[in-house]
Parts: sequence; C-alpha cells; structure tokens
Amino acid sequence: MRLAGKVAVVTGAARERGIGRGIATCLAEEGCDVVVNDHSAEEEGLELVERLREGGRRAIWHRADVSKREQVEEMFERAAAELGRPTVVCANAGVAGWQPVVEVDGEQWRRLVDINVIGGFNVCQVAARGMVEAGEGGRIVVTSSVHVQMPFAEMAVYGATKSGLRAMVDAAAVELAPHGITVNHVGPGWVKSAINDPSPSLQTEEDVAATLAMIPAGRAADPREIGMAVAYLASEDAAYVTGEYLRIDGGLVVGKH
Amino acid sequence: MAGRMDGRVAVVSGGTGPIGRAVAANLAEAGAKVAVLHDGADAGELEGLDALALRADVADPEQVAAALGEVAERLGEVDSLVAAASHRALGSFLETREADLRRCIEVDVRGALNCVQLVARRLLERGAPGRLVLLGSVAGLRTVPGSCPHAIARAMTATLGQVAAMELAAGGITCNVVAAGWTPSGFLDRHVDRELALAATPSGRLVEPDEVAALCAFLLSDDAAAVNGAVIPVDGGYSIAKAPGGSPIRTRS
Repeated sequence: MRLAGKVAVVTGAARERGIGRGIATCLAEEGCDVVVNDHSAEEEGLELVERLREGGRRAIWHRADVSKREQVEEMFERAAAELGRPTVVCANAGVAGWQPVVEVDGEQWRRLVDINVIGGFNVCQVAARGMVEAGEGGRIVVTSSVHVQMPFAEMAVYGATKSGLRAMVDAAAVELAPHGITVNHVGPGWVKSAINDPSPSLQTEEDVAATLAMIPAGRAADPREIGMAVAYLASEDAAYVTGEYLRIDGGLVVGKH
Repeated sequence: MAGRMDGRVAVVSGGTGPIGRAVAANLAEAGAKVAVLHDGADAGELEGLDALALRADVADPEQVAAALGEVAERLGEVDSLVAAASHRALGSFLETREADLRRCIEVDVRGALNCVQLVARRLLERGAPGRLVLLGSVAGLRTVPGSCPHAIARAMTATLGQVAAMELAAGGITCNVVAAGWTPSGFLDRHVDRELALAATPSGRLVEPDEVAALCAFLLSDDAAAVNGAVIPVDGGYSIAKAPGGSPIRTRS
C-alpha cells in the first residue's frame, strides 16, 4: 500500500458509477482514510463509507457544497478533527450541462461556474493553505477533462470551466512546489457516470456506438481507472510530477478523427 | 480609398482600455461603423474616437442586449465583434480572493459569452455571416504567477471561443481568440516589472495595442474567412519562452 496512514478528501465522491467514487475507492485500497464528500446523494455516500470501513479504513461522510467557502472550510476542519490532517485532496466535484452557445442561460452558467470553477478553487485553496501551514507537503489532484484539449459542441461552459481549472492547476503547481506540494489534474474521457446520463449524444444505441467509435480503446473508462491514476499522483512515486495533466481517455484525444 | 471594413458594423467591448480603443480606431479607419461598449470608467479615453460609445456592464445580458439593439438601430446590423472587456484582477493562487475570481469570470467570460450570444443570434436570424474575436491573454496559455484569477478567466475565454467556433461555423460565422502579451498601459505600469517582462519576451519589447488591433482586424476581414477556432498569441514570443527572472507580476492581489 502506497498511501498507508494518509488522510484524503475526495469531493463529489458519493454517486454510484461516478469518478469520485472510483477515486475514493482506489485511495482507500492504497491505505488512505477518506472523507467522502458530496452535496447530495447521501444514501450512496453513506453506503460508500460503509464499504471503505469494511475494507479496514476509517471513512466519514460529509455533505458540503463546494461552491460555499464556509462549507469547504468546515469540511477540512472536521476532517482534521476526526481523521487527521488531509494530505491528499481530490477536487473532483463537478457538474455538466448541454446548451448551444447562443442558448446558454444564466441558470446553467451559474451552476457550472459555481460548482466547477469556484468549487474547485475553494477546495484547492483551502487545502493548500492548510498544507503550507503544516509544512509537510501534500498532494492535490483536480479532475478536469479531455475538454481542456478537445472541447465539444454544446458544452462551451463546461469546457470553459475545465480549462479554468487547468490554468488554476498550473498556477498552483508553480507556487506550491517549494512547499513540497504537487498539484496535477486528470482528464477522464467517457465514463458512464450519472453526470453523463443527460448527454444528448448518448441517448440511443446509435449515439453510444458513435461515441465508442471516437474512442480507440472502444469502451468507456471504469471509474477505478481514473482512481488508479489519482492514486499514482497521490503517491511518493509521483513526488516530482507537478503541474501535469494525465489523460485517462482510451486514446480519445489522440484518436480524434 | 476603399477600406477592407467598408460596409461593416463592428462592436468592441472594453472600448476604453488601450487594446479596445486601438481596435475601435483600427476598424473605424478601415471603414467600419464602430460602436464601443464601456463600463463608464475612463470614458475620457473615447475622445477623438470615431465610434458610437455606449455604457453597458457586459456581465449583464440585458444591458448588452439593450446596447446591441441601439447599435443596430443607429449603425445597422452588427456583423463583427471584438469582445475585449476584462476585469484583470491579480493575485497568487494562495492569496486570490473568491470575489476577485468571480468578477474576472463574470466580466471576461460571461461578458464575452453575452456579446457572442447577442451578436450571433441576430446574425443567425438573418442568415448573415459574421466574424467574432474574443480577446484572451498569454496568461491563459502559460503560467504567469501572480495572475491567477485573470489566467483562469482567460483560459476559460479561449475554450469558450473554440466551442463557439465549432457551433457557429455552419452559419458562416467564425470565432477566434487573440491572446495578447504585455502591452503598455497604466495596468502594466502599476503591476508589472517591465524589465522582467521584456527579459521573458524573445522579441525584447512590449506589444503595442495597435499590433493587437491589427491581428483582430485581420481576423474580422474576409482574408481570414478560413481561420476559425484559433487561439493566436500576439506576444513577441512570450508564450513560448521561459521567464528567466521569475514572474513579471510584482503586485499581488
């Protein structure tokens, strides 16, 4: 186990089929005690906590809306009090939305910017301040997306929010490297998570076949495959890897044709 | 003498900034009818400019809609846009205030989105072609420590422009992003170590607002009809070079 005794916070971790659950599961398998955060899906979150505990880890469920600064601060305070100071932080919570550029409305704009960018920023900054103060280094991993290199039609705001996170990771990596803190982002391709259920391009068998045809590996990713990449970035093996972007997309971006 | 923007109607947001003003002047000289949107600050900068000046907070879609309606009424239907409004808050990652980040995103990204939406909708309704340019920054392409909220907003702008390009191409509309480097301005004087900025710029000099305007003008012209979804730096090479002396940003937050 590469992460024995460490405490991790994973946001957006509750939902079945979700990337966050895959991350939390893999970190726990590597030895982390885990704060399972989500703003909803409490039942699924509690079930995940139970499973992590059965696997021998300490785990707590914490409901917090990452777009609310004070809720993020409370989450880190509680994590430190109940599990110990988190040194592995995964800013994974995110939402998607589909609207043509000319039709994007204020509601979608606010939801995506609040949760993806402001939420990601809140989690990373609160985490980083704690790590800097403690002076023992740390690992921050942000879930971005293939969109940072390959944006999709009808997802202008989503893609933009992920590019914003990319710029934040770059800035944070440079600034935090002297403190022994690495900051990286992972770019999942298609995962069959609930976030993608409303996708207009995944509603029929033909849609799914067309999406699969874009992916050289010919399949969607398992959330655990994202989780294992995050576990690597959180490990000592990746101590010199910072400001990096690790795609886990079955070749989607390079196979674009 | 016929100008290459004769018969065109252009809107420039952020028209009181050095780049916005240079863009407006360039387009007017090339024969376009030009309207500038501004936030009311530094309105004196608009003196002598051959343009219709309208006050609007670009982050508010209703104000942008009202302004564009007035432009259409007074100058004709808009076919060209340069969205240059920027809040430009600075700060290190650790010190960035959430409120500054939010305002950067609202002015730079929501502002560009509002302008794109309102111009593109009218173009699509009329079945008319159009040219859209979003002003970005090299800070959105490479790391410039100390410019965290600005960099986040400008990186978002680039992706917004690319998706707009993808979606609007079928309607004969192009959308490109101009990533400006260090330009002389009051902002630069206040917040940037000029020596470090020049040391990190292979061309060894600042980029004049007129040079940024010239690229915008090219992208609005018929010559650029095949350029779409591009993010083009005009930065003297800053985006490809390493800054030897550290970040040129000297004022934090």
